[in-house]
Amino acid sequence: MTFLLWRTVTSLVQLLVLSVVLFLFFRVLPGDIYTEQLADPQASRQTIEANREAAGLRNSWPHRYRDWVASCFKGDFGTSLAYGIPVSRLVAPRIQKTLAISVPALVLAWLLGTGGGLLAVRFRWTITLDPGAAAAAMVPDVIAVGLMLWLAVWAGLRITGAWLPIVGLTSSLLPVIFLHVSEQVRSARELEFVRIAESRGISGARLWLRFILRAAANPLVSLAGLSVAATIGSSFVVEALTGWPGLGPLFLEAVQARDYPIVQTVLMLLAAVLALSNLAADLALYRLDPRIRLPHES
Amino acid sequence: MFAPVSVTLEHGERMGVAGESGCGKTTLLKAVAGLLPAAAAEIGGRTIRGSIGYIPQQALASFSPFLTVGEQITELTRSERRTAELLAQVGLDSPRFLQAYPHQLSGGERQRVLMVQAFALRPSVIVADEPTANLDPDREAELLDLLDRHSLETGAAILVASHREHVFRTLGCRMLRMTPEDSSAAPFAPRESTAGPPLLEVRRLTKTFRRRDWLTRTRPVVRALDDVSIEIGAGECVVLYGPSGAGKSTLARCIAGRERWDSGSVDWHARAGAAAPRRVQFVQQEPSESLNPRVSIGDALREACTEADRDWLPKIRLPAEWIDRRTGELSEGQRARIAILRAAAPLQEGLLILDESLSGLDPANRGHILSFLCAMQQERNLSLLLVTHDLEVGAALNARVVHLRAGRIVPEAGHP
Repeated sequence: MTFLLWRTVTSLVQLLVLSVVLFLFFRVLPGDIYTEQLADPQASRQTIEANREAAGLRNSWPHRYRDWVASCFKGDFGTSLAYGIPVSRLVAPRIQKTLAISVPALVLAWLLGTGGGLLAVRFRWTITLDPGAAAAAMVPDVIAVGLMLWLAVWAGLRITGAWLPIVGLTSSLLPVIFLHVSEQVRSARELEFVRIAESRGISGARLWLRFILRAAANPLVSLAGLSVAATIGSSFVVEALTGWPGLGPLFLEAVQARDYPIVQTVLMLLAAVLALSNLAADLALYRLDPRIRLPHES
Repeated sequence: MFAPVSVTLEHGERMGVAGESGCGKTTLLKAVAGLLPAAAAEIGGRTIRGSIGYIPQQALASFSPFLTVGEQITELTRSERRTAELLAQVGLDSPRFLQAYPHQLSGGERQRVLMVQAFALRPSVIVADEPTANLDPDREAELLDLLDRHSLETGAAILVASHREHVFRTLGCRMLRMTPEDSSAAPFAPRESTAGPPLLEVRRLTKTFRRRDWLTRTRPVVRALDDVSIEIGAGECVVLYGPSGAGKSTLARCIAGRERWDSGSVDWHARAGAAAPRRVQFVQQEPSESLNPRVSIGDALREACTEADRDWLPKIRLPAEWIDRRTGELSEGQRARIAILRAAAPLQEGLLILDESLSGLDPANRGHILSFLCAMQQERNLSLLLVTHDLEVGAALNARVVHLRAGRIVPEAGHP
């Protein structure tokens, strides 16, 4: 119980610290969305200053931080400076689009990675598959997805729709998951208690699921937590390349325009997803491993 | 590494495997149990799997940490009723044992569960590797009796390795004696215990263990140390002796700085180990567990002391050319020797604490380690603090015995 409470509290503290750091980061960067307008002969200096005043950019940063946090708790994430409409209305449909490709990609990558890893160890394919997977894991998303796009055009496939970003995203996650699963399963295969169970005649699915996969699961659960955040991060690149209207293109555009309300909201959202998925992974570990859950007898 | 070995067992026959640590007892038994890929054991002409009840040496590593004791036995019996019956046979009949996970049991309880797992298969051969190493004499007699009866009832043959000769006598074993690759047991001469200038003084140490309750409420549970004072001289050897739960380990851990105490003080003499990188080193109960099996002996030693080289190995009776072997390739006892050498390496006129570190070892290994400790004591004026329930070790080192009981020093203790 104490562990759960402690772990939840630390997650909240992480988010709080991160929100301050993020906020300060954008205060340190020179310029804002109105800087470029200074070069515009049609906009007078007074108008620009008035706009700044109205957007609250002239207040001191603790003051603005407080306003920002307070309004966030009320569900108001500010107004986009570029579009002039509430950030939540801009971001919400984009989140749906991003989820529509990242959830299937995540599930697919884990199914293929776990299945492939188990089979690779079971039938000793790792010697042939591991170097390939390691090489694939090193290829940057941009190149892999670019290549895929080129191949799709060459093969005459339809390059609109969700399949291309889903396949691209899956292929960027799969090699890393496969490598981890096969490595963990391979070392679990060699554990003393697994060998002993086998020598006692336990075999087949009972041996693989109850003993080997169970022993390999702990580090993989931690990896699952991390892979959620990695998926969202990769999806930004994949979306931008394939023209999928998710959070990625909106975010990149907002960074270029210094539309900070959007940038801050998206980054905080990412941080929250990372913190939550790690929290979930830790809670799952707590559930899964009796050595963490139950104390030693004294 | 292993000269061809042939072992033939008749139905119901018992065979004992004896020999120094590192001579291959465990390897032979693992091969028979079907744990080594290269070897094949045959029963009635066919290779077997599942008809051998193997009782491994390392109890904790032999259980899945994720399944309860009940589940792990039922995997083999396929019947929960039979699991409960078998557990009752070895005196673990409380339902809490069915629900417990292996890490929650004591060493002796784990060993008994291992025996149950061997019986569960109705094996035609029981292969037991040091089945009583972690048990007290009463329990040991009880378990050997159980093994004996089971073999009589089912006609199972027994292949047992041990460093306790009476195990073989009790079971009536035909003997197989093995010789190690590196046999060179050396006698050693303990030096006279000299009370040099004090190295450290422990004054009126008191320690109470509390169990932390929900957030803040605490309540005292055990008074582990109660007003203990002790002095250790430079180059002196002190044995902390007493029944389990007397606070021996707690005192040793306080001196090593691994535990905080409630009141009292531990004062080191200012000169103590001033030149050396460390003044106190602590060796835990199963010393071999402190080594990473994938690291070479040389690298393991250099972690503690950068000057370590191959010339050090003969000091603990290992061949110098083994320096590049991985520690995982060594036997339990050889690993223990490496771990103790490593702990002693960075000390100069300091204190080496061994917390029951020798209790799991056979006499040959213990001899190697004791002669090494003697040499270190002379060479570097090292002080030793041995926590033990075995006074023979203390006698071998000419040690001063400090007797602890229920957290207090028993006054009349002197030389054994």
